[in-house]
Amino acid sequence: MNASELLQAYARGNMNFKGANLVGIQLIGADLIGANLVEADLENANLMLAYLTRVRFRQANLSHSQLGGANLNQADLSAAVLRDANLHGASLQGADLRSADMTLVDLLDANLLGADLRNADLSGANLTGACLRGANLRQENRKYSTNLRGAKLCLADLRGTNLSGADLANVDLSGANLSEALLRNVNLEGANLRGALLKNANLSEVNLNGADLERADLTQCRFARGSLAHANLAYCTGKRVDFTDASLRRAQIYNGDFPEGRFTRADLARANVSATNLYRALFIDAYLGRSNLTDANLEEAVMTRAEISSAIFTNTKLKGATMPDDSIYD
Amino acid sequence: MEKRVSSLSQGQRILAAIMITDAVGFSKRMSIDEGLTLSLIDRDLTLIAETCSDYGGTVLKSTGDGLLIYFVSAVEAVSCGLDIQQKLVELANNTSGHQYLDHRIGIHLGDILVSEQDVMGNGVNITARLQTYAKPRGICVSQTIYDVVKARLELNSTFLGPLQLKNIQEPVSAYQISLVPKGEQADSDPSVVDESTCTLPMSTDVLLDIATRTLLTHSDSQRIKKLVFAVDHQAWENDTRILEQFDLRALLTSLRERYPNLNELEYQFRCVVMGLNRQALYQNIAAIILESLQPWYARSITPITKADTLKPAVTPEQSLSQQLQQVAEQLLQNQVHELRIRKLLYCLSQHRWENEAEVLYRFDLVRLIHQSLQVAPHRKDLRYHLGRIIKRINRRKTYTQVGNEIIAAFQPLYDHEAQASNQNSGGYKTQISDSGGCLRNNPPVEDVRLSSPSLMDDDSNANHTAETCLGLSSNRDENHDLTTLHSSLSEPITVQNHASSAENQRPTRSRETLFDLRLAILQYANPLRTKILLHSCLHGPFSYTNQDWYSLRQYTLDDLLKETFGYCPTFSDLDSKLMIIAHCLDPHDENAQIASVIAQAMKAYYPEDPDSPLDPVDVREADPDISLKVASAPSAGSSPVPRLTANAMPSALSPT
Repeated sequence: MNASELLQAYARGNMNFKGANLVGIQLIGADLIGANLVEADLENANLMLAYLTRVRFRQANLSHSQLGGANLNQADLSAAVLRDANLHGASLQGADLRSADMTLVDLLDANLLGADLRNADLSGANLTGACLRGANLRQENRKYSTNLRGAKLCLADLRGTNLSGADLANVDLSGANLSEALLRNVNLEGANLRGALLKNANLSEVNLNGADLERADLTQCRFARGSLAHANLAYCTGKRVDFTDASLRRAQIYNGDFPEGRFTRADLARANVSATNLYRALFIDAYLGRSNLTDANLEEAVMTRAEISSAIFTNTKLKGATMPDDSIYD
Repeated sequence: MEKRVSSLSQGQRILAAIMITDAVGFSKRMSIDEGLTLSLIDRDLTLIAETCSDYGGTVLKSTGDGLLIYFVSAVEAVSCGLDIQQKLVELANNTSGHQYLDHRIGIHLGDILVSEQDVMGNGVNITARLQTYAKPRGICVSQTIYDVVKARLELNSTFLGPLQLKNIQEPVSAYQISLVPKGEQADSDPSVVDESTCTLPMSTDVLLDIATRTLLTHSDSQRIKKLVFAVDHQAWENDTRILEQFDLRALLTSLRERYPNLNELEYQFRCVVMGLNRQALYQNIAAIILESLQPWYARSITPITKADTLKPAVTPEQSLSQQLQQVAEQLLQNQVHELRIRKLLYCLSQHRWENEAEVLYRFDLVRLIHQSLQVAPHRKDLRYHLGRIIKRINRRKTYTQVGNEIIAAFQPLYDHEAQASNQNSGGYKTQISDSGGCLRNNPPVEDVRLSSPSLMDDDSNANHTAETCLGLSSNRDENHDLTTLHSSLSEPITVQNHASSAENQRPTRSRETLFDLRLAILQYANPLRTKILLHSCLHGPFSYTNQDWYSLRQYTLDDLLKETFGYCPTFSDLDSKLMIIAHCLDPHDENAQIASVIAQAMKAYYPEDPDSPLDPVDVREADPDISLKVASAPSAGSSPVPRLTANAMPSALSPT
């Protein structure tokens, strides 16, 4: 079946192309709204800027296809193979992408608002600038979870998404917006989160060992019980950030701004906290062994029972701070 | 008179109905018979204070000839005010001769700060100003008070409209409440006469003030303003937002400049009224206006006013012509638009549209400029007239730019005005920025649909070269044209967009992160097409070659948006650039739509353009429905004005 036959059939009202062999078909800008392309073979097809809303592509083969700028809103792409497809600037709003194979797919600046991506394989995909707001990436169980390993998500809009339990190791999330996102128990080891926005995000029990969060906005972000050893948190802002029970061993937290931050029972051994604003921060039972607090502001901070004996307090502002023995520094 | 110091503790804030009374012509009466007046005021103020305490009011302060009182209930305050006036009238009727004083009362609801010695607060100031709008023996209450009491009290009230009170930023809507029912109020009421009979020799300014106030406080003040505006500007304006920009006092001043004697003015009023639908109604209005202007016209304008109004005359004749020459030179610098500049100025000064280049070039540009200056003696007028003309023609975008160039070039001629307005809080102080950057237009799709249906100009199509009257004719021979337009537009147009005016005051959004902007665009436009459009805008039209695709992939939407912000310094700049590029790309319509989505979304990130000179805010006025009325209005005997329907019009945006 070639392109003109397909379009003629569609014009006649035939919507059913189930299982059709359409390898390499040229359908640039075509209008196939609502067509049934279930299990069709569209490998290498060119569907640039085509109108494909509500098209059923279930289990179709779209590998290496050109879908740049295509409108796939509310399309059914569940279990479809999109390996290496080009979806640059495509619109996939509300599309069903459950269990789709999207490895190495290019979704640069794509619209994925409210798309269902559960169990989709996005490893190595390029999601730079993509909008995933309201998208469903939830892990249902250990086997049924979105795979984003090695994906590129810089500048992506992930506000309010649920990525709990996702494997985001070494993912590039620089400049991404993760405000209000739910990232409980996520593996972000070695991830790049430079300049990311994490306002009100929940990252409890996160693994951020060796991750780069320089200049990120961590306002009211929760890292409770998280592991942030060797992480780079320099120049971050984060009023009322919560590091309760977190491990910040050897982390770089210099030149930060964390007024009213909570570091209760946190492990800050050998961390570099120099020139950081920790006004009214809580360090109850915190461990600050050999941590560097040079030029830091700890005014009115509470350090009840904290271990600070080996910490470096050169030029540190401590006015009104509660010291480990519950005395007030003045 | 006993002074009651309130029992309120120092510096307490209370929300209260504030009442201020004032004796009419007190100082004057004092100068005539001090002893009598003092005893009269003492008697009246005691009466007022006593009545107030009956209604639970607390006297806070005496102003000498009046009292400042507050009530915890608005209903009590208004009832008390009426009672006071009633008692005072009875008192006056029982005494012979001039043994009484008339009082004005103002009431407003406001937050006041009461200290032991004094009361303060904006509410007090507003009340004091409202009081001056009350008729003698009457009460003036703010809308707030009126809304509270209207259900409870039966009032004989007249709406005064939003009043521009001195030193009060926002207009205050107010109602006039009088004791006597409206019908009986007329001549039998001594207080009405009071104002004019009790006048000592007054300056022309004061007479003008009185006339302005009478007209403003009239129940038909809106129609009065419309009519004054129509006579002054030779154009009918129904849009209240536009009318609000003009001060009635200034309109009257300019009216007198134009028509220095009353007969001439009367003739002009008659001509305009003849062209209206509701002639009888507006005849009455005209009579009211003329009557109240009579005392002012009777007095010749003093040198002070002259200097004020005829500023250009202050500068030597020589320099004016030099200035005109300079303006002409500046306008001629723009070779591309010269013909269009001439067209606009011709239309402005000659009140009709001319497309024949031959005719246009026959006129000396300096003369055109001079005549335009006479039609538009103030910068505001120039903006208004140009905006009005441009609103009705095709190629609005181009002409808006031309219009801006004219405004910019005319700037030196209005400089004296700018100096004068520095004392006032006018928004016209700001220098106009370079003309290209001042364009501000509605999104194109709307533009196309709403382009003015009845009148048009078309450079490319020779079909419509016939003279198209724009209804601006002050020339008496053409009054029938004026008639046509007036009769059709005198129907009140209720399409008002308050939402848009609110939106205009929005704060500018931060450009630090553009997630919201991207989201706003993505929801309504294809992301790839958006990128192609922005890329074309920044780097030239996209040609769909491999090289272009490769180049496009190097930029994220975020990059392109940031670059666009740098590339287009103002919103108008952005809007026009996007529109132009949208028409260079296929398919036009889809790209135009995307361009308007982008422009709409990015608008919030641009600061408001304070100078947006020819903002076609009122394109809604040119609603097709109204144009139908134009055509069907009973305008027999009018000249054959070429009229075209909206769909017959070529798109104003077709590429040149």
